[in-house]
This record gives sequence, C-alpha cells and structure tokens, in this order.
Amino acid sequence: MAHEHGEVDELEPLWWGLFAAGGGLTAMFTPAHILLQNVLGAIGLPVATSSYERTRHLTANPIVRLYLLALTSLSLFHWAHRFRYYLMDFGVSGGRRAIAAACYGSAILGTLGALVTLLRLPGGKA
Amino acid sequence: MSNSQIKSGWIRNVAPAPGGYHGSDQPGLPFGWWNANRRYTIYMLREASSVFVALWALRFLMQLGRLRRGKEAYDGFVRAQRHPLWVLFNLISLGFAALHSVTFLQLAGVVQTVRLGERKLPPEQVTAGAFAGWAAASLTVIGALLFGGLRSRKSETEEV
Amino acid sequence: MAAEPTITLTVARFRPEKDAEPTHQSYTIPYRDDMVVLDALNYIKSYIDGSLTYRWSCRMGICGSCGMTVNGTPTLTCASFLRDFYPNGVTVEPLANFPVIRDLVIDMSDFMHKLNAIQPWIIREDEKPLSGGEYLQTPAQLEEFHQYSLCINCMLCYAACPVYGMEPEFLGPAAIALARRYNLDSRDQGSMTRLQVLATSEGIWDCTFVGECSVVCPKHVDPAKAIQQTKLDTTMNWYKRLLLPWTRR
Repeated sequence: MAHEHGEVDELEPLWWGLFAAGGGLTAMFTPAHILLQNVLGAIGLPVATSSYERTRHLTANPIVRLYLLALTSLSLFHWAHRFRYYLMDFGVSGGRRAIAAACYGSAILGTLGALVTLLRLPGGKA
Repeated sequence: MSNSQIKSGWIRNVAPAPGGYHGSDQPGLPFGWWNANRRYTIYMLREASSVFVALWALRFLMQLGRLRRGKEAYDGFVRAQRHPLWVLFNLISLGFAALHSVTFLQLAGVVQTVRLGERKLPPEQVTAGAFAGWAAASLTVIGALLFGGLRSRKSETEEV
Repeated sequence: MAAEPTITLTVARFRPEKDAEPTHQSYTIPYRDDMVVLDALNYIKSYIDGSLTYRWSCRMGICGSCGMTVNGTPTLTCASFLRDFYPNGVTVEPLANFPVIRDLVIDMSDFMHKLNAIQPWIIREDEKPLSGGEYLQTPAQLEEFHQYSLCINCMLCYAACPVYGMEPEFLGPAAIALARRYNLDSRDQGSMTRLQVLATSEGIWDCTFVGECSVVCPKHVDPAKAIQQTKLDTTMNWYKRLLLPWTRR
C-alpha cells in the first residue's frame, strides 16, 4: 500500500474490501455471540460455549470452524482498517505507511493465530 | 492557479492568498472537535466500536485455544469470565457491538444499490432488508448457542 | 410606541493589514421575521460598518457564494432565517477549514484546483463528428447521475468534513461527487482517467464516511453516498480484475 502522494493506491481496495466484509459479518453476528456467550452465559444461562463438551462437539464441525475463522479474522481486518484512519481523526498525521503496516500486520498475524487455533481444535469425541 | 506548484500527481501546495491568512495555516482540527455536534460524537464512538469487536474475537479465540488443553483448562477460562469486571466489560462490548451493527446496517442502504430488473430498490428497503438479515443471523447464532452441542439421548446410549 | 425588535450579530473580523489574529465584533440591528442572515450582513454593511467584507450573489440558494459558519454550522447565509435564532443572537464566522483572506472571505483556490483535478467534463475515447449528431441519452440514463449534477460548489461540505479539516490534501466530497456525476454519465468514457485521481490515498480512500457533508449540503447531492459507491465500485472492479483477469472493465 505504497503511500506516494497523489499516486493510485494499488492495495487499498483489498483492505477496504476486507473492512467492508468484516463490518457486515460482525454487524450481523457478533452482538448475538456477546449477548449469549459473555453476558447471559456468564450469569447462568446454559449456553453451549460455557460447556467444554458442548463446545468440542459444536466446533468439531468444519463449517463451524470456517465460520469462526471468517468471523474472527474479518473482525481483525475490520478493526485494522478502521483504526488506521481513526488515529487520523485524533490528529495523527505522519507515519501513515508504518501505521498501516502495523495495523494490517496485526490482523494478518491474528488471522494466522486463528487458523492455527481452529485447525488444532480437538474433534468431537471426548 | 498562477503561483501553485504540483507536489506530485494531482496534489499541490496551496499558495497563500494575497493579503495573507489568519493564524491557522497549520491544518488540523482542535482536540475535541467531535463534541461540536451529536453526529460527530456518534461517529467517533462508532469508530471505537471496532476495537471492542476485535478484542472479543481475540478473547473468543483464546477460549477456543483452551479446548486442546482439556476440560480443566477450558472450564477455568469460562469461570474467570464470570468475574463482575469481565461481565461489565462484556456489557460495554455488547453496547459497542450493537452500535456498530445499527450504524453499519443503516448505512448499507446508502452504499449498496439493489436492482430488481430495471428498478432500483429505495435505500430504506435495502436497509430494512439488512436489519432483517441481522435478526435472522442473530436467531441462528442464538439457536446454535442454546441448543447446539447437546447430544441426543439416542447417541449417548449407543456409545455406551 | 413599542420598541422596534432587534437582534445581535457577532461577526468574525480579520483585517490582515492591521490584525494579527481574528476578532469578533457585535452589531445590533433591527429584526424582521422574514430576514435571513445575509440580509443582516447587508444591513450591517449598508448602515453600520461598510468595511465588513463577505461574498454573496444570487441571494436565493443557487450560486453557492454565501457559505459561512453560522452558530457553528456551515450554512448558506441566504437560506438561514434569523427567526430560527431570535431572540438569541447569531454568530457568523468564515467557512471552516479554509484559509481566511479577510473577515468572512475564504481562499477557495484549493477547492477550485480539486474540482479541476477530476476533469469535470465529458471525456470521450472516440469523438463523434458533428455530422453524427448529438449523444443521445434516455431519461433513465439521466437519472443515474442527475442527483450528483445538482452541486452548486458552495463548499459547505468541505467545511463540514473533519477529514478535510485534518488533512487538507483530501480530494473532498464535492470533487468526488462531481467525478461520479461524470463517471455515471452514459455519454462519458473517462472513468479510468478519473480513477488516477480518485483511487489515490488522498482521493476516495481518506474518507471515513462521517457523513456530515451530506447533512449540510443545501442541494441534497449526498456526496457521502457518491464516495462510498465509488469505493464499492473501485473495490469490485479490483477483485474482478484480480480473480477474473480475462474480463475487461
């Protein structure tokens, strides 16, 4: 994403596309997850993710793993693109290339971590 | 544009007007510019929401990472999440996630034109469709979390 | 006899030949409920202080000359009624995010340059000879870009945009909306040419969809929509070129 003044940014559509996809996916799915898993589940509602057995069983399904990869990875890319410009709203004007590299780099690392975590999930059989 | 210079591409240095300018030749808005009106403030909160959504994703991944380490490790993580400070943090995260959903889906109708043959759907209908999608997706997640992973009586007896 | 109603205007003053910093000056003028802020400024200039300097022309919201900051909001002073503020006073300042030349007059050369940079005219790869007649266009084709053709170049959107405030190199709402007006025009063949300006970091990508530009626009051009749709189109084309390289745009 070379930041030469006034030059066409060849990579920006990639990041914006990931940002938009991440925004859409998290808008649709994330609140329900947080409400059930981390709010209602934490105060006693028997949700799947509070139970070791149920979570193993659910995440054995490759479709579920794919969904979780998409949701988590795109959450990170959505954050990376948004945050990079958010800093500018606070008056940070320089270091655009470095900031972009740090943000997208973190999202890429996070995605790799998600991939490893989800691939190494134990199967359904306890 | 007589005394202007092209910096590079189409960017140019802005030449001072005859007579000079008043003090703010320095670009930049004052800190707190977002308090000038409600829309600016909501915009800044909306941008911040991405932080909480990403943090939730990371913590969920950490939780899933515990599955490999066995029941003790996983249950320990879940128990720790019951601490009132975590519950408070998660409530705030939920608020931000919901703010993200509402603002993002409201704007979906502006960005995305949906064509049915020759006609373009009015943006309000596209937005309504997006919110309907949110409801459907949420119900799916809620259903999966409430009823997922429960083994039927039949398969349990079969395994024994 | 009842006292004539009055209203107080607090107006920003800046005379570069004698002021180091801008100041505010208050004027109390007779009030009628059919007055706009521009009428108030004209009264001040005509009867109280002839040195007050500001731009105006049509006084009916079509020329785009009289944009200023009224009580903190970028507004056309010919369209801003005093009765919406009365009996409170009104503060009038120059349009935000632009260098001030004098009093309420701002330097718009950056804006003019940016309008020019996106080449706001029909660009053709192949010109029809005169004998070929006009380029025909259906009402449906006109409808595609009509909204974006309504811009009166009043610059309120630039005053409202915090991205432009922070980074003056940003191409800005009006210029991008105007570029889209031509890109969507069926007679135009210049989309790829304009992309060289639009698809830069200082072009569409700097926009973070604050949306205030569309809120203040007096002609309902909705530049925010133009920018986001341009982002979407550019991104879709990028992915298409990447994943289906045999298709030409």
